[in-house]
Amino acid sequence: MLNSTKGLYYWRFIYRVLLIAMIAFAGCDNDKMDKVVINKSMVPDEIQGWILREKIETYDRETIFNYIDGAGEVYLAYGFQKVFVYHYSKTDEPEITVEIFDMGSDEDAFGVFSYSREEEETGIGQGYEFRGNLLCSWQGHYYICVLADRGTDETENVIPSLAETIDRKLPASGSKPKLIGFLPAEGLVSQNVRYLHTFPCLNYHYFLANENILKLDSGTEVILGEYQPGPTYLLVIKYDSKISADTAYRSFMENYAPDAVPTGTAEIEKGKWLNIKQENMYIIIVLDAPTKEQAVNLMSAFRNKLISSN
Amino acid sequence: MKRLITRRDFIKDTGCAALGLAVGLSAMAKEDVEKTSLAKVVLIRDKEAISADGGPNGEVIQSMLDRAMVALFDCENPVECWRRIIKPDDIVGIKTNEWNYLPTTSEVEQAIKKRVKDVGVEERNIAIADRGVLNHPIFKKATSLINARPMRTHAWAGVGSLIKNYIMFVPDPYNYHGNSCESLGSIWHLPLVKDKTRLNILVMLTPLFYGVGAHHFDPTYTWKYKGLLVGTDPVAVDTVGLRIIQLKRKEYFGEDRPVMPVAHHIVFADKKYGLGTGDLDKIDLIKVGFMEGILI
Repeated sequence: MLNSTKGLYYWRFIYRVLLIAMIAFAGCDNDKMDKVVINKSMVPDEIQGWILREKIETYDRETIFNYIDGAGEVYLAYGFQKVFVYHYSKTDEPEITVEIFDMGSDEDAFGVFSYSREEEETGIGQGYEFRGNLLCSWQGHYYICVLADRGTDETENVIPSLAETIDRKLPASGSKPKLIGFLPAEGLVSQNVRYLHTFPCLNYHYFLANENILKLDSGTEVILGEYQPGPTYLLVIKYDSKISADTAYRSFMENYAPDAVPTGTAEIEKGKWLNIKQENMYIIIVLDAPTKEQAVNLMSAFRNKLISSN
Repeated sequence: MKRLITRRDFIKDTGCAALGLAVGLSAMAKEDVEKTSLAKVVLIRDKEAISADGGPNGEVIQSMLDRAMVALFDCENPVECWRRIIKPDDIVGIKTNEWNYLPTTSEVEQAIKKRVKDVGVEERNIAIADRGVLNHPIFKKATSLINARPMRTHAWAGVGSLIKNYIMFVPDPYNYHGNSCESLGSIWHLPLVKDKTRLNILVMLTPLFYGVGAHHFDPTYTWKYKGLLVGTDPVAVDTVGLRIIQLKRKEYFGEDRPVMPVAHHIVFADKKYGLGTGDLDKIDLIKVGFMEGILI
């Protein structure tokens, strides 16, 4: 009996060890699928005559300003974790730098891409923009930039090639923020859809006030969509709770749109209509609509999609 | 000083939101005390300022700086002008900007240094630095500072300005990034720099007038303006520089495109930190050199 009890404990112990090991391995697998190890193998040693320098630089949230000046705040305004920096050189050609930013989530990789892009093309990563001597793309929770110190005929060829090579080594896909799917398609200027969190980032794309009257912080999710003709803007904010949304709503109405009380609609200036609604933990604002009807219609179209999804 | 400024204030004042900073200034200035004296700023431009290879022409830069000094201080020759602001026993830090895409340039640095030496300051008492200033032996004991940097748009501060150029004098620059760097002017009151700045030179040789996101530099949005802005009031010089950037954007895009984020650290440098005037009406802008494409 004693032996058989001991045996039972033994097998239970073995079972638990195996179970823990299986869970751990499963975790590793998932992690591997989602997150790759960023090292020298991410980039080629040589491409079109450009040679990779030995040293890879890395910077995290603490050290980012050693690499980028105040503009590093853009990354910190998202879930930036770490950036890996690679340098290439070639005789008589400008240096090329590759940056792979781990943004912590797919949404924030898309977010920081959306913050900076003016145009968007497909074919590299999950969207990219090639502007002058700089190509930036996003893929999974990575934001990747390849840039030359200056543009030449040769850099114009090598930059997209390098970006494509890195693209193939990163996770296949990531998810855009869910709220973007609720933006009404008609009139939407897709390359001007922004995803962000903080008030300075909002002000960068749509200056609202010099103080944080919408109570945005790193936990708020913000979508700014631009519509034509207009431009008319649809601003959607998801707070962490209804209480937070209540506070922000009161602040906005008091500081920006007292004349929109109680209907939520006001003509801010001739031909610029505002419409605002709070929906539980969401605040939805239509800005600069040419007519009251257009403001209300855009609001309804978004709300219908949002409500039907919940 | 009016604290909260919204987009509606801009629209109300101008009929459009695009003028941004200029309107912010006027909105604040209404509550400010009238100032009687004008801040003098010299804008000098020379067609030959940029060499055929695209870099600055050192001799021309020296000549531009000299002419600017004579215009600014209204004296006979440039060395005499420099003697008004620098003494032979001064220890002089030339605060430059080494951003590799658009640096102050060694030509501008050396032009300054030459005249500082001409005044009689010993070589060993002169230093040129940017990122290392905080621990630089000369800067630590400097009695005079010369502030020189190029004007460019900036992803977080609106523009890289003379006011912003002193951020390297603090060990914790990130603590000055809040609300689009509104508190940069406070740095100028720290003991290391307070009341030491004798001259401000905003390099407008090939300014960057537009950019998007953190990777801000794109040569497409620079142009050969071939100018220097020189003055003793850093806010006034920045204000003129910013105005030129805004006017260039209007010319290039065919519409008002406000500098974003609003470069209100310049406004705060005036209204909150008292470093100079940001009101164009209170600035005496002296234009020297060629006028074509001057914009302002």
